[in-house]
Amino acid sequence: MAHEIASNLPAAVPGQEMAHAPDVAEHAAGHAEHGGLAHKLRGLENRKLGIWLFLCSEIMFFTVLIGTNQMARWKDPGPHEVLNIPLTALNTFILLTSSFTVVWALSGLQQGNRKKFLRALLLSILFGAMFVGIQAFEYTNLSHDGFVLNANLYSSSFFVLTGFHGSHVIIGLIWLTRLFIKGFNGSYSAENYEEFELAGLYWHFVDIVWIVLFVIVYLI
Amino acid sequence: MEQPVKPPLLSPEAAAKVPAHPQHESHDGPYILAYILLAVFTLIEVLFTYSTFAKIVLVIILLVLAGTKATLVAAFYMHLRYEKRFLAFVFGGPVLLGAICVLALQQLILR
Repeated sequence: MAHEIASNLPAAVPGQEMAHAPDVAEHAAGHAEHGGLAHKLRGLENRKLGIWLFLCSEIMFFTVLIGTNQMARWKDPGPHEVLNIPLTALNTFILLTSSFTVVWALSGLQQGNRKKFLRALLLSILFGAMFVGIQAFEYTNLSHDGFVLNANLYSSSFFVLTGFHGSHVIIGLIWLTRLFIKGFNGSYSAENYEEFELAGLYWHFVDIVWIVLFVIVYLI
Repeated sequence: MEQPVKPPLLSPEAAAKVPAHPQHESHDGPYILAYILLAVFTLIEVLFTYSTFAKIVLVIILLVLAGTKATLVAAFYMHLRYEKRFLAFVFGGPVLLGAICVLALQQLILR
């Protein structure tokens, strides 16, 4: 591995090759000895740490939106009664189920059970699409009651907050669909599942955000 | 062309603890249990909303339930329970900061 890395490097200044090449090879060999430190930090694979850090930034993003919604409710309580709690509770249940099916799919992949993986992933996509569909239905009903984006400060913050969450669900759906197609074509196996695990982390995070939104925006 | 085998993302210690990894052997119990708990807690949340508790009691109960549900998802579905503690600190910091901000704003709702 060390020699491979050294051989891929551009040629150094003539006369200095001998001085640099052993250093690079030594450095790379050192990394290999420590279990590939170049790709890890504290034993965590870089892509995995990267997605966790991205999720941390998402927490701050949604905190700001939730805070704005709380402030707007204080200034203008608005038609909080208009929100359809039973329908949203059903939607919450659907998103929770999709989270379960995603982890179920990962479990299938890790067990080398392709059928379980594909079925569970397809169910996740269907549940995710149902969530978006019900949210669109809810928005339509709210608009019929005059609760639209520019009705007041509260309605604006409500649509921005839940809309951004919905857009995250749509991005997650596109990601899962891509993974389903790749999985269907046999790109993943019991030894090669990390890409799906990263998408799963994103999907579960979107689920966590909804758990908080459901309570703060709809129930309290 | 043969697909290159990439290294697993879980650390060796974490991989050893994750419920489902051996071939054809299912350890999905924790996932099912977490799902049942999530569904039950959601139902309790909705039922509490229609109760006649004082607003402050209701807010505390609902926030505790939401926090428990979020922890269940992070611990079991995101495998944080099986990961290195370092990762829990990385994720826990912003969660704590966000929770403090949201809790501080609850006083506006309770007025």
